[in-house]
Amino acid sequence: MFDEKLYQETISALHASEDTISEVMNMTHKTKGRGSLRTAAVLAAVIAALCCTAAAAAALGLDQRLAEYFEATAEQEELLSTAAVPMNIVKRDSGAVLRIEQVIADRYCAAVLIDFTAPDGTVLDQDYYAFDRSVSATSRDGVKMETYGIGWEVLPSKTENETGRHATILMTIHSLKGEFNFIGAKVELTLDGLYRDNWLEELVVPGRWSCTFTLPETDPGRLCTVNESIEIEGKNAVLTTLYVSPLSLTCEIKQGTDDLKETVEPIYSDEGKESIAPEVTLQSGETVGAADWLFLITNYADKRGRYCFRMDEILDPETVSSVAVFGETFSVES
Amino acid sequence: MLTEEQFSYLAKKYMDTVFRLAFHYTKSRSESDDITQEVLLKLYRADKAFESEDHVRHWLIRVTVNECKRTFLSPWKRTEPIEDYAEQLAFKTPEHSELFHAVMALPQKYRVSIFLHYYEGYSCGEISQFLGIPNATVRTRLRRGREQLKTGLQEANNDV
Repeated sequence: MFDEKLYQETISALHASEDTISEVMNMTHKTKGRGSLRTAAVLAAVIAALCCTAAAAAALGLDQRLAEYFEATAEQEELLSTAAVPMNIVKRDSGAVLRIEQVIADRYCAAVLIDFTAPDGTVLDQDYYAFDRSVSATSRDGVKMETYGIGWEVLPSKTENETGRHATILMTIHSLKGEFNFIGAKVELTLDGLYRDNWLEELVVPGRWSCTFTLPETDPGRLCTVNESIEIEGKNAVLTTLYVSPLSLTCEIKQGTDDLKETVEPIYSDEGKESIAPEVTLQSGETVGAADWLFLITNYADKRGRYCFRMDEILDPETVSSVAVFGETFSVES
Repeated sequence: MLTEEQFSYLAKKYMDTVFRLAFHYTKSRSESDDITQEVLLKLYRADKAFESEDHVRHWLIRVTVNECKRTFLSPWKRTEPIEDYAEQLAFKTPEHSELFHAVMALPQKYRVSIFLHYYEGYSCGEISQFLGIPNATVRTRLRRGREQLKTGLQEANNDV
């Protein structure tokens, strides 16, 4: 018997955070008539234009589909392969076969390459699929992953898909806060039904596929401690770290002398990443800008922000001499 | 257009309603706070003559549903361990905590229908309008949601 009273009492315990209402009240005074604002805007991961091929990928241990996804040249594949580990995890349920073929990770981002075969009679011909899922991860030093983001993309299959039952799906995981680090982390993953969309309304293939695996042990990136004051539109914050890897550029800030909420507001304006405008200068003098953001998260409770970008080119962290963010340049020579 | 006073009154009164509905969709506190903020800003900017407070409440539910759907159309989602949030909620009894976890383990479509019907008190017909689904589907979701909830609670008790 469904106990309505108990349910009502239970749900009554849920409240919007006090910050939410005060933020709305502040913004209604500041932004009458202006565009949208969110305290922690997020945007989907980059949709890569799949154009570049790389014959040496397999030999280097990097799956061809990942090489194409990252638009890597042969040289860049070598960099990426240090962050990748081949897997051969095969799970079967309800007539479907799920194969985890490769994982690739840096400190804040991980991607899991999944080859999925639907049961007889099911055709996977759409350009988007998502699994219902639960993910837990523990870093090498025992730190549990806290808040995270999940993305799904369908990649071109490596083989002919005559039966239409195959789909290659890239699952991306982003660690959005805390000290958790993907390098060498143990991941417990349960994928629960393949759906037509993230809305999880249209179940395409039922089933449950669970597995545990360890992410690559080698950190492909460099973490640089900065702890320098920065200004964002005239307000003070502290840039704590910069992290450069072949997969991403991530900067972390914490509250300075000004309120963090007000300080990071420009980051979520229509200009978005232009407020951060990350640009890397290589030892050769060449500069590389950001292609897109992967996530822009401000954790107001911790008074910290983490902003992660995919760069225009795959970077060799050892060749990066400086990083410009928030209008200031920081040397990161090793 | 609402006056500042009207908006302030309505925002304070209904922010929890919006948050709870968003949480039934997303199971993420931060995502739900973002959605709440977005919906309330939409209310502030709404160039609309509301006929009554009930009209405002209907409008807020509809906008929240749309905002949640929009969030879920993104290929990228934010997730938080629900246990962390449950610990902070400080439920009165273990039964409340058990029920919370059982409800959150339900498929999203059942959670949302159950919330709108059993918490907000909307009829199946009203929920069908909010969600854009047939009346019979709402009834089915409520029935299946209740059944799954019962099974989930029984399994939880057996585990103890």
